[in-house]
Amino acid sequence: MGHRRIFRYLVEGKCEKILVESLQKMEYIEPGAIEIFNVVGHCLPQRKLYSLQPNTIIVMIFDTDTTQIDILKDNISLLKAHRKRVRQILCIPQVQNLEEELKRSCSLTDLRNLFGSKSEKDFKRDLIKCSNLGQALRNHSFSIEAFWSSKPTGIFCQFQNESSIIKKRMGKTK
Amino acid sequence: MIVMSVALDNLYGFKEFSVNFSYPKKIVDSPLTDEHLSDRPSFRYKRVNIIMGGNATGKTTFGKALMGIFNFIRKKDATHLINQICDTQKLAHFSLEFVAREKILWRVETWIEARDGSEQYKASDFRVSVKQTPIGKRDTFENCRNRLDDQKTVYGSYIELFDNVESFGWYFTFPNDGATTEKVHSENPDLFERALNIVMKTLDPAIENVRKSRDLENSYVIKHASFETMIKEGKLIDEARTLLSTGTIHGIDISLLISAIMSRQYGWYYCDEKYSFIQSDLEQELLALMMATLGPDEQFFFTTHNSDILDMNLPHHAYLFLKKEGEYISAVFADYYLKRNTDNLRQAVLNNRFFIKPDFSLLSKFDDK
Repeated sequence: MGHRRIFRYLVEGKCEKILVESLQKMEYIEPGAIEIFNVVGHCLPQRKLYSLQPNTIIVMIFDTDTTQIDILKDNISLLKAHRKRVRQILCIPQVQNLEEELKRSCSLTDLRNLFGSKSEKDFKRDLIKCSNLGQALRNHSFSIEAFWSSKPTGIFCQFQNESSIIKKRMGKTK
Repeated sequence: MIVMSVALDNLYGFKEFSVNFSYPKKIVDSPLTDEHLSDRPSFRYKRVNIIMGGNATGKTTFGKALMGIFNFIRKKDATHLINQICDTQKLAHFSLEFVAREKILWRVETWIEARDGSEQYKASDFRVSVKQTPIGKRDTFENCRNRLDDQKTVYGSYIELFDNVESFGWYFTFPNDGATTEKVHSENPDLFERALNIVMKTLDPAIENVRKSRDLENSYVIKHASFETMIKEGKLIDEARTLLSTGTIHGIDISLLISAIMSRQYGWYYCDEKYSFIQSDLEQELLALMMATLGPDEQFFFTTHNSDILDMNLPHHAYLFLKKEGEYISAVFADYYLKRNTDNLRQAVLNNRFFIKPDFSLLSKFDDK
């Protein structure tokens, strides 16, 4: 008999939220509530701890193109202190950031080609406005194996990439 | 303001009722921090009280009783109390132990004489005793209580005695009231406007903006994708009540409460079933926000029917269950039966560990042909 597991994703911004939602719909990763919260830049507020459900698995997705990790470490310690509620904390460091991850997983050298964006700034806006991100990713041979698969370097090297725990074996083809 | 204990008899539908809001032992790794009077680490109190129970078990009435008592003490207004005596031919009684702003434990005890219905109550019908004791650095609630018990009880006129009782604030919000709102939105318009923007847009993403009216005082304009409407004196104008969902409309009172807590003006809050029309996850998030926003030496009461609240990361002693047996209402905190933090509260409720499950047997009459 399996234990009830509740996944709670913490992502840095709206682009990541939309992407994670798409990956969930494509059944590439475990379903779970997604919240926009920058775990590298901001301390977890007390109120987030009150709504922790039992058996929660926190999935932290963060960029590694910054120089500070103290807040991230504090946030991890804080969640570990609530071990009766937090079953596991998974770190998914994006090397160096979401854009680089997408380039690698779609075999693109220029990310503007994903949506036909005019500029890199337009790319983020186009991602947010895209009505079927899953299809756009499939059109560019998106590989879930290549996505979130790199090991971070520098100060982030101490954080293991634990994306394999949330990745599912087979995604949806349509 | 902190309410430490309440006793009620023959008032507000309560008979021989008592409840205590302290807890005896420090809880290790409690997610609720600062559950003690500031600078008095042994004077522990239940900072957050989630009140649950079946229908007609006194969740709203308990709040109304406290409101009546507070008004009696602060404003010497006994009207509400008199109107809530269950049987006027018997003595009515309440006792309240509380801490206001100073480090003093107060005990106000009142006996209301029996009368038949035809006579008006006079001040002399109220036998009031007021006691106080300073709270020392190492004092527990129990020590202070014992000192109050040892003091001689002297009854006097409440009109004079209450002049010496420290003042305190409160904020009640009931399902259909509006009386407590005026002060908040007129004294903290910026806080209220900010809370409205966050809460209303969360409840209804089609709401684009909420801003103070430029032309009218104490009024706010809600800009929805399809229309514009107004909040006046903390209430939505009547015409708009069919345009917004019930849950969204309740967002106004929720915003008032959040801005009241943020203002730190009141110190004590009783939120009665404001979330009946709010989606469960959102209710939990808003409750978490309010708990996290409480200041030192403040206290919060929250009534709900939502069993998902049982899964929140709170100590067992934060949950108070009211139940009615015949004409008697009683209160039991979850930690009375659940001694370990690992004991599953939801499972305990499902298994009727607190004996609060309503009696459904009458429903079987629908099975009769």
